[in-house]
Amino acid sequence: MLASRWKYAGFSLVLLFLAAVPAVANNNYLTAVFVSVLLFFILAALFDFMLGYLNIFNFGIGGFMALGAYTSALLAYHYGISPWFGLLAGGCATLLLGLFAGIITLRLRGIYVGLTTLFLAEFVLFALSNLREYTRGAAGLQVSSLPDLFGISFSRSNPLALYYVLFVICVVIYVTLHCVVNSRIGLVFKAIRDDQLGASVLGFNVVRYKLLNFTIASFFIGVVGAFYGNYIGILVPTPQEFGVARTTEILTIAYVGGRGTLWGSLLGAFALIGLQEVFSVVDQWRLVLYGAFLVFVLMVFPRGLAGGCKQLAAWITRQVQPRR
Amino acid sequence: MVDSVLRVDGIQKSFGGLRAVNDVSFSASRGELLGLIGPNGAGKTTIFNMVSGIYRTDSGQIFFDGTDITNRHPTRIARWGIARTFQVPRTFNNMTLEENIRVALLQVNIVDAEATRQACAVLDEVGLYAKRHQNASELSGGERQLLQFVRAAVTRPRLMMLDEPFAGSSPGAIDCMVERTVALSRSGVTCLVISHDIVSLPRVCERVVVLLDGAVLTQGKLEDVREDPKVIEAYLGE
Ligand SMILES: Nc1ncnc2c1ncn2[C@@H]1O[C@H](COP(=O)(O)OP(=O)(O)O)[C@@H](O)[C@H]1O
Ligand SMILES: [Mg+2]
Repeated sequence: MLASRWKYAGFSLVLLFLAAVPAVANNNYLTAVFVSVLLFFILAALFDFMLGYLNIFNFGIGGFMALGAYTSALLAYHYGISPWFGLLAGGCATLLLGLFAGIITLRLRGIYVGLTTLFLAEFVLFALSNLREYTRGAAGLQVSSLPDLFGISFSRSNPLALYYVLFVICVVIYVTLHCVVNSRIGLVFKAIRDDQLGASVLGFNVVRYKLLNFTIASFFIGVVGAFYGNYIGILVPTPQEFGVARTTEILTIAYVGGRGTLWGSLLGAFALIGLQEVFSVVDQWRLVLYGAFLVFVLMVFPRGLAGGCKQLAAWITRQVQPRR
Repeated sequence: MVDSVLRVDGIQKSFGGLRAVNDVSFSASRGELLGLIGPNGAGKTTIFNMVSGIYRTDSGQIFFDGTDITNRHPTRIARWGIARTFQVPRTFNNMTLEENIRVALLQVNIVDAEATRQACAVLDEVGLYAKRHQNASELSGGERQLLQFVRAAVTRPRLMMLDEPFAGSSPGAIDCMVERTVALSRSGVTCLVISHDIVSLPRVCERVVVLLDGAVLTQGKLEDVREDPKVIEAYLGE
C-alpha cells in the first residue's frame, strides 16, 4: 500500500513537472526540447511495451510513424479533413499495418519478426517516396497545422500549445499502457515474455496476445506520427526521419531507460535528449554518441536507469527502516 | 478400456534417423497414478511432448476422454484439461511466485482477491509461501519443480503429466511432491509420472509402463515388473 502511494506521488510530481516547466519558462527553445523529450519518451515506451513485455522487436517503428504522419497529412492536403481527426485516422491506418504485420510475422520468433517489420517499414517509405503525384515524395509534403480549438491557436507559431497537445496524447497513451500492463492481460504478457512454451501449455494463445499487444502499440505509434507531422510542418520520407536511424534512437532510449518499465523511457529520453543538446555541435555523430552512452549505462546499470532508480530506492528504504 | 482418460495408440516419432518412440501404446484410467519408467534416452519425454502437442506424432493416435487429440495445438490440448511439468523446470522467472500462480488461475477464471487467496494457499501447501513476493529466478531447482507443479495443478486438469518431478530435489521436496501427487489422484485426476529410476517410484505408482529404446518393454504392477528379467537387464545393462 505504501509503495503504491509513493508511486502515485511520484507520478503526480512528474506530471506537474512536465506540465509546469515549459509554461513557466515560456521559452521556445526549452519548449522544443521538451517536445523532443516527450516524443522520444512515448515512442520508447511504446517500443518497450512490445519488447519489454512480449519480446516483440519492432525495427520498423520509424516506418509505422511515417504511415501515421502521412495518413493525417494526406487526408488534410487532398480532402481537407481536419488534422484533429487526422490524429485518429493516422492511428487507425497504422493499426491496420500493425495487424497485417502481426498476422504474417507473429507466429515467427525474435529476429524474423524484427526483419519483417523492417521490410514493411522500408516498403512504406519506398511507396511514400515514389507515389510522387500523391505524396510529393522527396519534394516534401506541406502539413497544415492543427486548427484553432476553444479560441486557442495550435499553429506552429504557438509551440507551447502544441506541447500541451503532445502532453495530453502522452498521458492518454501512458495511462492506457500502464493499465494494460497491470491488468490480467499484462500478467499473461509477462508470462509469455518469460516462457512462451510454458504459457502455451497453460492454455494461453500466444499469437493472439502478441497480436493484441502489437495492434495497440501500432495504433498509438500512428497517433504520435500524425502529431509529429503537424509539429514539424513538412514531411519528407527520409531514412533519418523515419528509417532505421530513427528506430535505433528509440531503441536506445528504451534500453537506456530500462526494459519492461515504461516509465524508464522518460529517464532515457531526458538523458539522451539532454546529452544531444549539450553536444549539439557533433550532430552527425549523434548515433555514435548514443551507442557509447548505451554501453556506458548498461555497464553501470544492467537494467537501465529505471533499474538504477529501483536499486537506489531499495537502498534508501533499507537505510530508513530500522532493522528488525 | 472404455473409461480410459488417456489412450495412446501406436505412436511413433523419429528425429532424423533416430526412432525416439516406436509404436508405443498404453492407457490410463480416471484417477490412476501411472508410472512411465525407463533409462535415459528411452523416449519418455518425447511421449509427453507428443501428448501435450509440442511435437507432432509421425503416426499413431492419442485419445483424451475419447476425443482424438493427436497433433492438436498445445494451447487447445491444455484447454481440454491436460497439464504438465517439464524435466528442466519451466517457471516464469521474472515474475513473483504469486504471479506465477495467478496467471495460471486466469485459466479457471479466478481473479483478484480470490486469486491472491488461492495463490497463497497453494504456495503454503508446498512451503513456498514465505517466498511469494520473490521472483521465481531466485528459487532452487527443487523449489522450481514444486512451483511448476502447483502452477499446473491449479488449472484443474483431468490429466497431469509430471516429467521427472523427483530429480534433483531434496528429500523434503520429494516427500511434498509425492504427497501432492497422491492427493491429486485421489481427487480423480489421472497422473502420469516419468522417472528414470525405479527406486523413487514405489510410493507413488501402482502400475508402470517400462520403456527401452523408444518401445514398451513391459507394463503392469510395479512388483511384477521389478522382478521381470528383461527389466533387470535393461537397468543393469545401462
Ligand atoms: N528435439 C529432439 N531432436 C533430436 N533428438 C531428440 C529430440 N528430443 C529427443 N531426442 C532424442 O530422442 C531420444 C529420446 O529422448 P527423450 O524422450 O528425451 O528420453 P527420456 O526422456 O526417456 O530420457 C534420445 O535419444 C534423444 O536424444
Ligand atoms: Mg526425459
